[in-house]
Parts: sequence; structure tokens; C-alpha cells
Amino acid sequence: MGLPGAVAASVETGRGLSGGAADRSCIFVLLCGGPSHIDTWDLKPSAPDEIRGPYKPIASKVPGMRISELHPRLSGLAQHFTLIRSMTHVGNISNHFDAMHHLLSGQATAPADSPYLGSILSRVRAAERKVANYVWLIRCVGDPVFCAANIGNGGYLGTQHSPLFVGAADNHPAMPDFRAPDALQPVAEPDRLDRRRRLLAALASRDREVARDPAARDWDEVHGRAVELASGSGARQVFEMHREPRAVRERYGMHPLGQNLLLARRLVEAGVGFVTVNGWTGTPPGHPAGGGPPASSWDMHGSEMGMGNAFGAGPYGLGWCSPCLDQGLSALLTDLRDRGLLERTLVVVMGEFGRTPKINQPQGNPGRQHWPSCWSAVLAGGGIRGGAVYGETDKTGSYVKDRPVRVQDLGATIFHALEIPGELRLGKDGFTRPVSTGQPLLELF
Amino acid sequence: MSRPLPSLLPLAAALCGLVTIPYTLRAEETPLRKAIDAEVRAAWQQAKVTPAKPSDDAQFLRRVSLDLVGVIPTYEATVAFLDSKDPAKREKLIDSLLADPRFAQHQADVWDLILFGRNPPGYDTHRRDGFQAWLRRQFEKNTPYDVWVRELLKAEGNSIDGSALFFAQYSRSPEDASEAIVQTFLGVQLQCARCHDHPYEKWKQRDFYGMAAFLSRLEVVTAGRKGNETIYAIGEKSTGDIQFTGPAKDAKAGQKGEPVKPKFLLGEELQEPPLPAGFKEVKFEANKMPPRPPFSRKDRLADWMTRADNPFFARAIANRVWAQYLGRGLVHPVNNLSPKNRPSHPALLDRLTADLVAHQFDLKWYIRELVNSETYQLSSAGSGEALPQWFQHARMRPLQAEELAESWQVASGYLDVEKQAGKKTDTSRFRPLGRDYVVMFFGTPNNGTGDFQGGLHEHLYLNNGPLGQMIGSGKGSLAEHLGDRKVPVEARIERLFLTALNRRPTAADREKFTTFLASEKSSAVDAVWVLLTCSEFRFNH
Repeated sequence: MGLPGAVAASVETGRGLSGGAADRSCIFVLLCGGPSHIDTWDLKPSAPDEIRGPYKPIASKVPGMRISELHPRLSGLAQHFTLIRSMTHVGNISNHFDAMHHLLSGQATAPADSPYLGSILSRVRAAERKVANYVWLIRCVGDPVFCAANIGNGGYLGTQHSPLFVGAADNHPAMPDFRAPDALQPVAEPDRLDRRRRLLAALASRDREVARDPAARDWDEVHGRAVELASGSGARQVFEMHREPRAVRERYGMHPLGQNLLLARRLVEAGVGFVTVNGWTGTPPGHPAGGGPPASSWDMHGSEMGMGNAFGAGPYGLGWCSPCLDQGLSALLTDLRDRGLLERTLVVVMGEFGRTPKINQPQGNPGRQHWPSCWSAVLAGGGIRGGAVYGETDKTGSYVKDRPVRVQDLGATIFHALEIPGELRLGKDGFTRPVSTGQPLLELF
Repeated sequence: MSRPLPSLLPLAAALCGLVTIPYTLRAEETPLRKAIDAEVRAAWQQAKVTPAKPSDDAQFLRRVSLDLVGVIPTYEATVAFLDSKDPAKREKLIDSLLADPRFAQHQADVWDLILFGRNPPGYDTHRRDGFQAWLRRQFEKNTPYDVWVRELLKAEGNSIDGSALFFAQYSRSPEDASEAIVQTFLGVQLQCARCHDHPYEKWKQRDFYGMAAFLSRLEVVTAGRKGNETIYAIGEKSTGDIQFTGPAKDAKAGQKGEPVKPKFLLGEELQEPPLPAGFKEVKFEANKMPPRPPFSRKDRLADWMTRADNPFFARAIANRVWAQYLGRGLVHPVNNLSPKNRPSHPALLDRLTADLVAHQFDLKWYIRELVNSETYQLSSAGSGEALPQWFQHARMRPLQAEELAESWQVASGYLDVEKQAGKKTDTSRFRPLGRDYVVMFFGTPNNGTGDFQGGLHEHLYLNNGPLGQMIGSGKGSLAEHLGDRKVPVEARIERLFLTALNRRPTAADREKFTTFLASEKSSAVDAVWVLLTCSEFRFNH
């Protein structure tokens, strides 16, 4: 069930690589800030008070998998996802910037210019240029500490593999006047754009010497198509949220995370290869905006950073954020399943690290700090079998006890699902740097 | 390791195939530009390649303007050049462009990109006005290449007035710094020998770390503040060694190895004076310039690297600058001058190197010779290769971000509009476009391996971004001239092409544009937009 019209205008240039799944996509839900693993997926009910946290685990559809009581809907869908509890960073990466950089590069000790997963997919699929092969929903704005270095560019692959940014804190799909990216807004009536296009085509005739060079020919061709794209309405339609039935929108939840997940589904249907969704949940209705960094709900430090109670119902509280995730993610998984898209769409849900087992300030506004030694990730679709728990942490959720998964292993697993060979060398010398240096978790498939 | 110091030259000759040429230019030798043409022509005959015809005046004018001053010529300059009957006009044009202050800016842009790239890490390297100003001053004064490279490598001074920021990129890694400078200035790919002896070149791990050891004592120091900018300087300690004691396979259990000492590539170990008794290592104080050490390893490296008889230095720069104007190095790629990577024209490379050294690394002299050659002035029509291997036609390259922004300013008439409006509210080079977007979309126009690959993003930007507003119809703009129905359409179209593409329109061009402009609904802005965004504008050819 695709979208009508040329939402994704294919631009054949024949300059990309062959290989790389033509139809596999990835929705990467990056819970920016790093949610506490102990309060969401890896609960420790028998740990002491100052570690346990206020939430109780509930049973799920999968025997033995117990998750937070704030995820009732997801517990009923547990057969569709695999829960990795043993994510671990190599080295002591305790700041957002570096943690995100290594996670999104799919490598530990990633060099400064390493491209992120979406850029690599965009490069591998260069043969068929769509509107954008790589989209990032909700740009990190404000505090640059939350923006890993290469979010806005393609690393050593170049800027043409940077993501198309859609939405910001003041323009997101839960708002009634949400606007699609400026790049896709037409500047003039179709009539005028058509005259432009015809004049362009007249210039690009074969008689001109310049036009014979392949690079110049490509340029002219893509240029012409871009005018078509901008004058047509197809590309903009995918961002018109009012085209979805109200009931569907409400099932995802009318908050930024829910609506971005719905938009991600629409983008994947339109053929976009990699969609990163910032896990920002926005402000609870009736609540004044939070005091911490914007667009980064899960960095729940508690009163240390002016965010209020991490277990409360404010914008930086699990009481608000967990139910948003439960609602949005369960809607996404069922929607993908019902539309037959789950097999070819890998869904990854995780933060860049976990949070300290020991709670700060149990009186006052409690919270947890950064914890890179272990945290959890959820994988669904894209061939993942689902209904399993992989790896284990110790009884206080401090360190990995069994089957650690490093960021490069997760990266390798994602490449495997997307059918991108891990030994692919895309660097300048075509030799030194494989895209993946980890071991894929083949038993998850 | 002590043995008598051999002369570097025969050793280098044996390994690099360098023919020993006396470093004095004999008076009866042919000028370099003629020697270039002779060698290239001989190679065509040998390779049985048919060259393109010479470029016409319009092609040459636009190409050499972009290559030398980074911007297209104005309408007035174009008409003057095309209509001039002076047989020496091309040579005079070259001289005037080389004397233009924009030459220094353009050279600074080119080298800034080589030394930092578009996304350098850390230590405020993304804001390097001080460094860029220092670089521009070197080209304004035509400082010899070896002199400013030596200054760069010695990194005295601070990041605001000088070149100190270069090493700041590699702050915690002498290995990374060594890799970069060996590639850039010596054209040698040593990095494969970082983790193991090179599989097929002669470089060993000891060679890699021997070079990196020269930089193992550097530290980036905060030397103060100026306004809201931090001032950095490069301090060098008197102790500290590279963290490498030899290949792992040679290590013996229980034995503590000796850190590799600095050793010149293909040369000797550095002789270092012993530290005086009771020596105390200095601690660099914050917000103060660091003191110089009594003996500086990096200064010895800088001196050795920039010597005229260094086996790699002169050859690497002769090759690199050749590639900047002819598209492709005689050794390709320009940072891989290994013995196994043979030059396409060995005798020519030897001659270029010798002449550059004889002229004390005067790059402006060298560039003048290159662009005056018939080889450079060939038309680019031909095989369709962007970088032709036998230089049988001119190369094609995409314009850089700075070149595009400034050329759009000239072509659209924005600069004239600005002048007529009186005051200038925005002083950015990229005005009225935003620098970040232009650099993002047009700053690195390749896919990481050097092939041009324009993305859909940049086309969408051209369509919908502020470019349309820039073209506008303000007083004095090209669009205004084009839309002025009091002027005959022939003259208007001629002016359009001379301004935007620096050539007269062909018959086909005239016909299509006349038809377009005849319609009431057609917008002059669109006609200008089409020419400013077509491939003929986008590339230098």
C-alpha cells in the first residue's frame, strides 16, 4: 500500500554500487539523552531501594520477558521484537556527543570523519536517487552537546549523503501547521516552473561541448528532475499528516514522538531507506516547557539539570515519556505488521547509553546520570525473529553479565538486516576502512 | 644506529627514479612552458592520442579567471578581452590576474582546503580566520613555498596571528599529524606502515614511527583569550617519546622495549643532545605562550622536510601544483609518489622539479609557466574524461563553494545592485546567500574518492533557496537589463550570455532565448536562473 504519485522521484544515474537491499529500510528511533535501562526494559525488582526505582515489571506475551509496567501495549507485542539487554560501550564514553558518534557510526573508536549508518545506506543505494534516501526527524537544536559530530553531514562520504532534516522543536508533525522541509516548497506556479524546465532542457543539448562530459550530463539531468520534483506535489504529500485518518493519528499519539513515528512509516512506504527519529516526546499537555535541553527528553538527570522528577509526569519524566513511547511504538509495530511492511523494515529503538543504577537525590527530584557500561535496545522487523531476550546484566543493572553487544556488533547486525556487506570499503582509498568492524548477531534472525 | 651519513641524493635517486639534474638553470634551456608542450606532444605521439584543438578566447578567459582568481570575469572585462586584437593578450591577462589581490585569496582558499578540509575536528579549527589570514599574507607577499611550509611546521606564534592552528587538529596524536604532513608535503603514503610493515612498498613500521617521533612532544596550549575567542599555541616539551618500541613480533616477553627514536625517512636517526643534569621538565602555564624547548625535534623535522634536496619535497609540490591546473598529477594521485606509482611523463616531472627548485620554490612563477603553456590552453572537448591522462584536452572540474558564491554575485549583477543601493549590510563573502548552506551543498563536491557526484539536495537548494532572490530584478541587476524592452532583444541576449557564461550566444541559443523572452509571461529572472545553474556555469572547463 504505497502513496500515490511520484512521492519518490527516481533519478537514475547509474553511478552507485550494485548490491545493498533495494527494498529494505530502517527506522532508527534514537532516544536522545539515553533512557534509564533499569526503569524501562531491564528492571531489577530485588535490587536495593536506591537502585530499584519506583516501577514494577509486568509479564509480556513472551514467557520470561518482563518489562516496565509503563509499557503495557508493548508487552502485548513482545513476540514481534527482540530485547537486547547487554549493549555496552567500549571505553568510558560518558558524554552524549561521543556516545552518539560511536553508536551511529556503528563502530567503537570511530574516527572523526566516519559516516553514520544512514549515510552509508544512502551511498550504497546511490544508483536510485529518491527524494532523500536518509531522513532525520527533528533536528537536534539548541545545545550542541547533543549533536554528534556528523549528524548533519555524510562524514567522508560527502554532504550529498547527509540527511534531509524534517521538523524542529517549533515545527513538528503533532502541530496542526506542520510544514514540510523548505527544500520541497515550490517557489512559483507550476506553469512558470515548467517554462524554466523547458529552457534548461534546451540548453543541455548534445551539441554543446560541455554537455558531453558525463559529470556535466549527470548534473543537467538531475537538475531538470529537481525542477520537476519541486513543481510536482508528490514529494510534499508524504509530509501532509492530515492525509492520515484521525483514528490512526490518535493511535500513535498526538505528541511529537507518536506523530514522527507515523511520519517515519509514511516515509518508509515512499521508499526512503533510513529514517532516524529523535525520540523527543515534547511537553505534556498543560505543562510549562521543561528546564533542560530541548528535543532531548530522555536525558533524565533529575533536579541536577533543572529537569524535575525523572519519575514524574513532566516533560523529562518517565511518567510522561514511557507511555508516549509505549503508545507510539506499539502503533508503529502493529501498523507495519498489518501493512505487510514489518519484514522489510528494521526498527531499532535505543538511546546512546543507559543511566546510573544508583538514583541521585531520592528525596527531592530524583534522577540518574550517564551510564555507558550497559543499556538496552529493542530490535524488530527486518528479518529479526522477535520474542527473545538477548544478553543479561548483573543484579543491579551495572555491568553486562552475559553476551555483551558492542556498538560495532549492533552496527554489523543492522548492516546484515539491510543486506549491506560489512566488508564494504567506501573510504577514499577503497581499502582501509570496512563499514563494519563488528560481529553481527546472526542468531537474532 | 650509527654509521657514516650517506648522501641523500643517490639513495633517493635509486629509489624514486630521480635523475640527478644540476640545480642551476642553464641560460640556453628552453623556457619551461615550451618544454612542457614538447614533452606532452611527444607523449601523444607515443600513446597515439589525438589532442583537442586550442581553446577559443571565451573558453580560455573564463577558465583562467576561475583558476587564478577564483571568480568569473565581469561583462566589461569579457567584452574587452574578446574584442582585443592584441596577439599577446592571453599572456597579459595571465600577468594581470596573477597581480590581482584575489589571486592570493584564491590560493589561500585552495591551501586551506588541503590543510584542513571542510570538517576539521576540535580546538576551534572550524573558526580559523587567523590562520586563513596568515595564509593569505604568504601569498600576497609571494613567500616562497618552502619558507611558509617551514613556518607552518615550526608552528611558532599563536592561532590568531599565525599558523599554530594546523597542528591543533591532531592534538593528541602525533601519528595522525605525521601521517597528514608526510602525505601532504612529501606525497608519501606512510600510514599503511602504522600497524604492520607495508605489504608491498618498502616502508616498515619503524619508518612510520620514526617520523611520528618528531612530533611526540607537542601539546596544544591555551595561550590566552581575545574577545570571545581562545588563543592556542603549540608547545613542545623536552621529554616524551612515541609509544612504539618495535614490531610486535620482535618483542620479547619480560623485556621492556626502547621507544623508537626520530628518524628521517630514508635517512638517519636524529642526533639529539643529552639533557643537562638535574633537568626539570617545564609545565605549560595556562594563558601564557609556552616557552621554546632547548632542542626542538619538530624544528629539525621542519628543516629537513623543506630542504631543496629532500628526496620528496620538491617533487611533491611540482606534481601537486601541476595537478591543480592540468587536472591530474604526472603522478596520480598527488599524495602517492611511491616508486611503484610511476609518473606518466618522467622526464617532464624531473624538469618541473628542477626548475621550481632553481626558482627557489616561487609558486607564482611556476603557475605562470603552467597556464601559459599550450597544453593548459587546449579546449576541453574530447574523450569525456574529466581528468585526461595524456593531457590531450583540458580538464573539467566543478567550481568550489567560494567560487560559486562569488561568481553568482558577479553574474547576477548583485554586486552592481549593491553598489547602486549604497550601503552594504552583509559583509560575508557568500552574501546574500548563507555561508553554511553553500558550503554544505557545494563545499565537497565528490563522493569521497574524488569523483564529482552532485546530490539532489543541492539542486533543490538551487531551485528553492535564496538564489532566486539574489538574481531578483533590483536596479543594476542582469535580470533588469534582460527585461528592459527598450533595448533590442538581440543585444539583451548577447549581454546575458557575455555576463553569465562569458561568451557570445550561438545561433541556437539566440533562437531559444528570443522565443522565451517573446512570451509576456516569461520572467527574465528565470532566464538568468537557468544560465546560472546549468552545467556550463557549474563547471570549469
